[in-house]
Amino acid sequence: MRKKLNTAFHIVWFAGLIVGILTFILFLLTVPHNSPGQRWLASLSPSNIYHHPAFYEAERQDFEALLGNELDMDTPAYLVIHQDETIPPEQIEARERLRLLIRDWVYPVVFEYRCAVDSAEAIASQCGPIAEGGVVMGWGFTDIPGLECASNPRRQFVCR
Amino acid sequence: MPLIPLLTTWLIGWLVLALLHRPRLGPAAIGTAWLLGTGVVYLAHYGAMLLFQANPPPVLLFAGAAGGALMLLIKRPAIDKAAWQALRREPLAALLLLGGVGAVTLVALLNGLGHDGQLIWLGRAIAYHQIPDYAFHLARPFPLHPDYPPLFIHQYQWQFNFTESVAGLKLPGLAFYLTTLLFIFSLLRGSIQSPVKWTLLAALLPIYWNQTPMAQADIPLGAFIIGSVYWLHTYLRTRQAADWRVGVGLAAFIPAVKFEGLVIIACLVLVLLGMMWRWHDARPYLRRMFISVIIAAGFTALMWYGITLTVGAPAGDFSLSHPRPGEFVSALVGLPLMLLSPYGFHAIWYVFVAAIIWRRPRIDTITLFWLLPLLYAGAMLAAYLFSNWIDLTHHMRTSYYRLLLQMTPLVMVWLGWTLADPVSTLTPDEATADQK
Repeated sequence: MRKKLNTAFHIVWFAGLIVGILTFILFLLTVPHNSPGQRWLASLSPSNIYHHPAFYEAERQDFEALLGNELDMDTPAYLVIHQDETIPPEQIEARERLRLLIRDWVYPVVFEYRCAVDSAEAIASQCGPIAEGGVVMGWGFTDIPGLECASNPRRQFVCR
Repeated sequence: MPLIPLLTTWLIGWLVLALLHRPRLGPAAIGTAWLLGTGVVYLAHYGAMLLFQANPPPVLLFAGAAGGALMLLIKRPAIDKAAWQALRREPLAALLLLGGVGAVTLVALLNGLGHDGQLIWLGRAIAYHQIPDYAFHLARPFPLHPDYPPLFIHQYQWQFNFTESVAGLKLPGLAFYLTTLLFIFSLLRGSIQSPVKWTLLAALLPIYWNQTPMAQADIPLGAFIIGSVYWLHTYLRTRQAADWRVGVGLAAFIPAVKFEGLVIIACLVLVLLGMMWRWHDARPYLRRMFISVIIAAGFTALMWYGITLTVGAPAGDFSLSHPRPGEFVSALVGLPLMLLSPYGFHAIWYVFVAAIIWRRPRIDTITLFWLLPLLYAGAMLAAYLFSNWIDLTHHMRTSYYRLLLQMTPLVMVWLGWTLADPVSTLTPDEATADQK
């Protein structure tokens, strides 16, 4: 019996090794982040649709136009949602798209704030500090006094 | 530069190990030093953030230097030659092991930052680095899972002081992977004829190809589990207090790595209780382990979960108030196939269960290696009954294979002991190599 189980284990292990090597090849396809290989992988997984870059391509183009491609990974990003805001069901997707865009674009430094957005000072005092050069993104507003903001037709805005 | 925090962590761990034990420079001691070092890095960050809302001053560098001085100048450690001899007895397997680990390392270093798992842990490390205040982050829902315990996060944070490169930030995850292999090898050598080959089999399991590049906290948690079990198992054989101290010391950090650590400690305590019931000769030693694990792990659990409860962190992935039996049962139907998914390919668990049924193992020194994984796998499976996710099946599909990964090193060791050819005679050096 021990011999049979040992054989079964080795068969399972070699099958696993093949899976491992395939995974290795797929990982090679995913270098660097957001490469064509990774987009292809994302497209294979229906559960991962929100993570598919094509999902938020429209927002990406909007914000790249607004910001002039100046974002990098060292720039902290702040997703600000008004403390009184209730998001209608039909708008949840727009907000989710923005959250994922921020995360995939300027991640890993993302803070989500829920506070008053009357001014940059109000955000800083009620929510927390905004680092020098940080980008504030929000949903459902068009302006934060004290910051230079721009918005797109989806009611998403970006300020710096 | 990225190697400085890595080396410092290890030297700090060596310093601590020298205080707890009289270590010989061998695989188990090397792995233990790394784990203890990460524990000290965690404690330093924890104290600085909790008390001063600041990143720790560079005292860790001095502690690392002290560890280095101890090792090189004050007291040169004895080298565990039997370990190297075991490698030389299986040259082909040793070469393949080197190549395999090299390949996994290469994959991990080359892979980018595009995976949710790593982003959660690394993102929080950078967020902590910018605003070193637990309460501030726990009160906010993003980055995701603010209630995750921070041992691995702080190790990232420590690494982040010296490097911002993706490859540099992948190093702690790799170190935990290698640590796991060191313990597997240490447990198998002296017991079976081909310990290097079985370590190779463990090293190249597809779950490691998949998870090591993602540098999630499941491999570190798995390393702490096998490290702790290694020393507790050794204690049951040697009955020496030094082994018990190290085992309990490592078990103490298990709840600080991941939330599931609490469940693991509960399972460990239950297994020890069962062993006490059935194994009368070892009862005093098991009782000592039982009480000390509860106290030590309870203390570290309180250190973190006390804060999360005080601040009122957002709800996690599970909620006891909303059991969902109907969806749970339908998710269970897909479980056998789920275990074969390319994410984890946990088919060895089928062989594991079959081997347990065949062997009907008695309660003895190796009980921790089969009963603990089995109990934990069952407990975490049952936990999905209380999933907070909208889609319970999706929750199980995207996380259960990682939970099993935490116990996979123990499973591999038990399978090695059960299925591989045992050594007929041991040289005194081999038989006692791990006991010193």
